[in-house]
Amino acid sequence: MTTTTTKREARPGLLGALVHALRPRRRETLSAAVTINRPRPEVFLALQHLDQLSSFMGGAVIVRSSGPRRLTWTLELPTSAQAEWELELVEERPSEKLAWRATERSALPIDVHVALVQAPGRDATELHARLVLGRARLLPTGAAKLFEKDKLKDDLRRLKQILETGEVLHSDASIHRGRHPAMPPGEVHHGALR
Amino acid sequence: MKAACWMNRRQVSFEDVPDPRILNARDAIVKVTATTICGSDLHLYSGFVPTMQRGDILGHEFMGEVVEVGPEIDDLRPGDRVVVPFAIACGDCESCKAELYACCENSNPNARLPEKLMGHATCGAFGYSHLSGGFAGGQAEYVRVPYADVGPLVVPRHLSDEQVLFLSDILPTGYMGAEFCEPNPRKVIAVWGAGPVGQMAIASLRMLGAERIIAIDRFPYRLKLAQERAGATDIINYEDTPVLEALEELTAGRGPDACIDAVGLEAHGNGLQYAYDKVKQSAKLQMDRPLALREAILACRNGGIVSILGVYAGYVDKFPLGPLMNRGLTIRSGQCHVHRYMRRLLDAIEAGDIDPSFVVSHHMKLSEVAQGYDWFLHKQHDVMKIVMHTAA
Ligand SMILES: NC(=O)c1ccc[n+]([C@@H]2O[C@H](COP(=O)([O-])OP(=O)(O)OC[C@H]3O[C@@H](n4cnc5c(N)ncnc54)[C@H](O)[C@@H]3O)[C@@H](O)[C@H]2O)c1
Ligand SMILES: [Zn+2]
Ligand SMILES: [Zn+2]
Repeated sequence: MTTTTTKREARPGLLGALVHALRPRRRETLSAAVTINRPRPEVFLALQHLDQLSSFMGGAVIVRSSGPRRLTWTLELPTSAQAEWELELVEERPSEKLAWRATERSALPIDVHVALVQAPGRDATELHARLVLGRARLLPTGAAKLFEKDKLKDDLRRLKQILETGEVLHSDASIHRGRHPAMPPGEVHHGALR
Repeated sequence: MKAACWMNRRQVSFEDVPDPRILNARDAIVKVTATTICGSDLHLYSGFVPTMQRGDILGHEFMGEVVEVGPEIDDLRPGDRVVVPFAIACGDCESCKAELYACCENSNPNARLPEKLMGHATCGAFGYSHLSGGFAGGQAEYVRVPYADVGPLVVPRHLSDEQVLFLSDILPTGYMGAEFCEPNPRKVIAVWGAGPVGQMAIASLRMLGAERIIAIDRFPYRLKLAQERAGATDIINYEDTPVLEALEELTAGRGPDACIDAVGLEAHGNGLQYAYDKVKQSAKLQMDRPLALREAILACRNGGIVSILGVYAGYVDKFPLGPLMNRGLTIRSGQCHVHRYMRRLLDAIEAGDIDPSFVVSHHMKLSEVAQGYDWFLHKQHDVMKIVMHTAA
């Protein structure tokens, strides 16, 4: 789901401008998969505690527990507005499957399904994620990007990184979009070549 | 600190940049003592690798002294003298566990870019464009080294910088390309390109037991070095000798049993093919000029092995797929899995089985890096490998 709230300091007009009428109009499914070089029970356990792995969302989204089996996802938007949605864990089959559904407070119904399959012949885990986005009302612009396949894949890659290596790897350029510290400070940045 | 920055095509300058910081718990900061320019850097310099940004710090072959480590690093200490592999690898993913370090699945924060361009993501690397993660490079006074518990190799003080620096790239690269050929005394092996990578491949072939090795290039000083120091038994200067004919003659019609491409995407040539590739490349219709590779495939003996070390960036034209398929050739290739070979090659250096320092042709100060690129690109002053030192 998506409820959109504004922080106190944000001017009311700003949010109006920000909220574009947005997809999805119809139900839409996004799916992506990743192979994680850890045994299934370990991956399963990690997924049960996603609030402890927020960094897999790449920084912009904070995941915290908001009650038993409930997770609240908060997206900080550049305009100091926020988008928030809450998911409830509705299905859990040890080492095999997890499913979350947006709670009744949600403006955007999202179902999240995760299936875990053992990789062929070894103790690694294939994680198949599917996001089903229901009929939406309004979604702030910044939030729309969260529901794109590329973003989902990046999130899964980061989840894999955390489970395999302990944390999300950065380069100066991956933390700072555009100009980054690993270049001469006075230089005018001309953007990517080609 | 000061660092060599890519400013534009054919423009490198020595600039003031912020000092690197620890960004991840498994990082180390290394104070660079020696670094060098690779043929791969020339591809960036010439503007053939996409996603370079003005100001990016270059360099992926370097060594130095550890000055700081992240909280998760306990096997490296400030003061350790290390050589760092050019490819960044986590040591934990399935590729790393299989010792395919240059296929590391976790080391590229920009994995999405190469995935789109190449089908799957490639590993992170130092100073090698945003396609390779946007990591700052080691042609600098200091460099941040991620996964410092996996990459850096501590090297003993009694070996000189020139002896161990090339463990970061060209020696393992040449060795891998040689190993791909499954060398033995019965085989004749031809190596296109007598640059530093070709020289390391030839020296490694020798160490691995090959007895007939043919070096191909157009610079007499490089061919001479290949013969006198690396261990080539025959040389072909393609400017005055047609290569395919010469190889046929040297192998009594069979063709070399294995062929190494140590040239890559900036191959040079004389004929129509070269003109064709060059036009397509400058019009950006083709990223690579695969001249040497085409020739290597045509030359290779039926059922033989083609080992590709030269770097290519994209998709190529007029690739001799029919000859490759119908004559049952095997292609082996890759960015070097440096970590896999470093330890054993350090042992070989210590034992005196190989001494890669024979490719050093010049010493410079890091501040002279712009001149270094210019000389190396144009092969001026009989340049082979330029070792650049930071001010003491
Ligand atoms: N696979 C890896 O991990 C890896 C690592 C390091 C370098 N490389 C690549 O290896 C290649 C060589 O690197 P280098 O440092 O030796 O560079 P270099 O530019 O010094 O050497 C290339 C040599 O090839 C010769 N050459 C050009 N066209 C030729 C042709 N048609 N036939 C025969 N020889 C020809 C040139 O005269 C030159 O001597 C580059 O493409 C570089 O990117 C790959
Ligand atoms: Zn290199
Ligand atoms: Zn890895």
